[in-house]
Amino acid sequence: MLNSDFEDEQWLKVLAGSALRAEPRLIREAQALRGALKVYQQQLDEQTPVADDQQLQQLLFRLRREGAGLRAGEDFEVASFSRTEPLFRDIDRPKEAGSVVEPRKQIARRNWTWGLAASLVLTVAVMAQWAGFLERESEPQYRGSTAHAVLTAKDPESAAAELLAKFRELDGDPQSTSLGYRRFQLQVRPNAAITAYLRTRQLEPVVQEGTITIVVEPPRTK
Amino acid sequence: MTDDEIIKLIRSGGKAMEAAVKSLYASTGQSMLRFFVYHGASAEDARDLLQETFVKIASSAHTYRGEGAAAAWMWQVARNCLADFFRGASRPEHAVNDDEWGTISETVADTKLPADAARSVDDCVLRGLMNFGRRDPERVYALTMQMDGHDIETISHHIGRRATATKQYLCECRKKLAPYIQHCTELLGP
Repeated sequence: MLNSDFEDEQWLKVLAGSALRAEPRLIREAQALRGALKVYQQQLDEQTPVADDQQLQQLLFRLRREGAGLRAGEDFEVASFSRTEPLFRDIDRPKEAGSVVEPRKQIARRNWTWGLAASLVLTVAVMAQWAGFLERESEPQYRGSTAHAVLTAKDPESAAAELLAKFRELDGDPQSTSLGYRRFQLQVRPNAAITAYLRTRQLEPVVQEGTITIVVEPPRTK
Repeated sequence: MTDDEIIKLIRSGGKAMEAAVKSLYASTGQSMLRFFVYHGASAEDARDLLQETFVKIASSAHTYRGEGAAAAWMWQVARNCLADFFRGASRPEHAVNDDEWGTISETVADTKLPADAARSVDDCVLRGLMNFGRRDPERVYALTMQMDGHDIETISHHIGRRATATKQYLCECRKKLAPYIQHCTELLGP
């Protein structure tokens, strides 16, 4: 089925829906493919999620949390590992996000260092959890007495993003702050709609100095 | 807002960055989700990939030096994220090299369809196209863009080729697809 360049071009034009004077068989072939592509496209489009506002809010929340774009002239990934710079000094990181090919050795070396870094982070996390556990054991928590409401969620990033989006929608001028690993503080200006919304989420709003503070965090592990 | 302006604003950070990200999300978000699904990602993975792509665009906007179109650079980031994703996951299908094409041409072209499958040319072509799509999703993605009437430059940004190479690539799709639908086109008559 070898064809001339001219014939291929005609085929592409008919595929794009142009009405051409061309060989009938070529037109039939391109039109049959066009019909099949439409069905195929429809099937895949049904599986494609919608780029909705909720996902945009999650994305913006993540960008704010990670400070991406705030440090112009500085590579975000490198910046986030600046404290362990001596460990990573010998790694040639890809210079541009557009670069594709990385030598195998480089990948292996990077994986090794990532493994080491992950182990260190895990160790620190376990120790921090243990220290927190001991602290909680010795000091009983009176959650009702705090000046903020606590929302526990398995996916605190999504929950915080959802709240932020809702607060914005209700004109609450919300602010978000990261409190460390997967914990977020949201501050919002109270109004009747926000108070009503929080009650639907089983959160009792506590207004302090004209602000409602909500802390979103993952469930505590025992 | 043009793509170059978007990158410039992303670099400046803060509220300007957020406005630029929102604009980019509105203009490109849905196309990127579609791109990921067409290349075999699930809906959930496509959402994660889109977020990853935007975070990478935001965090590495300063590395874009204005060589080539900004859109091409952003789509390259998306393709890198997809490639990273498939490096981590075991992909059920793989891209076909030229040797494999030879084998496919010899075997598939002679395959006779069961009587019920050949009821219509349309069904036959659709089945062939689906098989081709599993083998080479990028080509089907490019053909879909061509069918939708996108210009060569836009298609070239999405698939990461120069405009002239993209035209060649699209023409080659006919040849590559032929073994999958040749038995159907015989039903089209002379």
